[in-house]
Amino acid sequence: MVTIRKRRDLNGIRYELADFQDYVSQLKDLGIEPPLANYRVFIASEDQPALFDSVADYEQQIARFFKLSPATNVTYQIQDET
Amino acid sequence: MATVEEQAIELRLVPAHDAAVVAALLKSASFPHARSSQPEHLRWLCSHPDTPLELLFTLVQFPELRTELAHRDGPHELLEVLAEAYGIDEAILTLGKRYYADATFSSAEFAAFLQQHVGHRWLLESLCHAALSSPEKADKLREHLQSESESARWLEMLDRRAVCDRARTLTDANELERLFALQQPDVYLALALNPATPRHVLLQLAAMQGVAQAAKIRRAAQDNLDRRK
Repeated sequence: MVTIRKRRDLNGIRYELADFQDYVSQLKDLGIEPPLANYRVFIASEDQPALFDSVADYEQQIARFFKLSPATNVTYQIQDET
Repeated sequence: MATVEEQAIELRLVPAHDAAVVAALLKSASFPHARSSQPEHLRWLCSHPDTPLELLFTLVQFPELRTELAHRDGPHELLEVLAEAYGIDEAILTLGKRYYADATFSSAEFAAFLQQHVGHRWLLESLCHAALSSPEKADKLREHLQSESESARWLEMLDRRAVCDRARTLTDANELERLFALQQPDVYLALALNPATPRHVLLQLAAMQGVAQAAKIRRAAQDNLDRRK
């Protein structure tokens, strides 16, 4: 299972992989090409209301961006560290 | 060989009118690497199920990524570019099988595709083994094969495929017994899978030894017999 850390501060919310190397290994073990770069997704405070109103499943879509389930068999959890 | 980079690259997610979050993130992720010509950092996008079409056409500009892109099932426009503009074998194969098997493509479209790829051995071999959607397309393929070098070999392959298709789908017991008498392993396998194959033929197939694919034939025949209990 891959852990995505969710961290809030005054500027916004950040979603990042808790252990990038482990994430890369898990994807490679399943024959899935991982990114070479460690991406982090940032949602600015001023953008949150419009985004949350228009996209109900935005966290699932962030996971999908990382090639996690349901698009693949790699399960994940979002760890809220606020 | 490109190395994995631990330092995070931050992608800002902003609301968009079409709410296409994944596509927006993928485009953001691609910008720095496409701009600085780092194709290895773009490779993971080639197989991403949500990579939008416009980004796929950006990726196609990198020769190092074309074979990877050609392993996708689509979109069709991408495969056409990879096949026609760049001659990527995997794309030619995928499209060829699609034109042959998919009934939404006409036999004329299939024939035109074959004409664009005369002499493509890998394509011809694949088509000779592939499922088809209509007798008209089989005729187009046969016509095309007759104009190729080594036509005898291709036509024999196509004929064997046709025999296997008949062994797999016919229901006439006498015909099925005649096909069994050909003593060809691929025909044996097709007969083993056919629910209409006479029981005494299946019993012989379930005991098959000393031919290619014998284990597979035995398993298929036994499964067929078990389904009839």
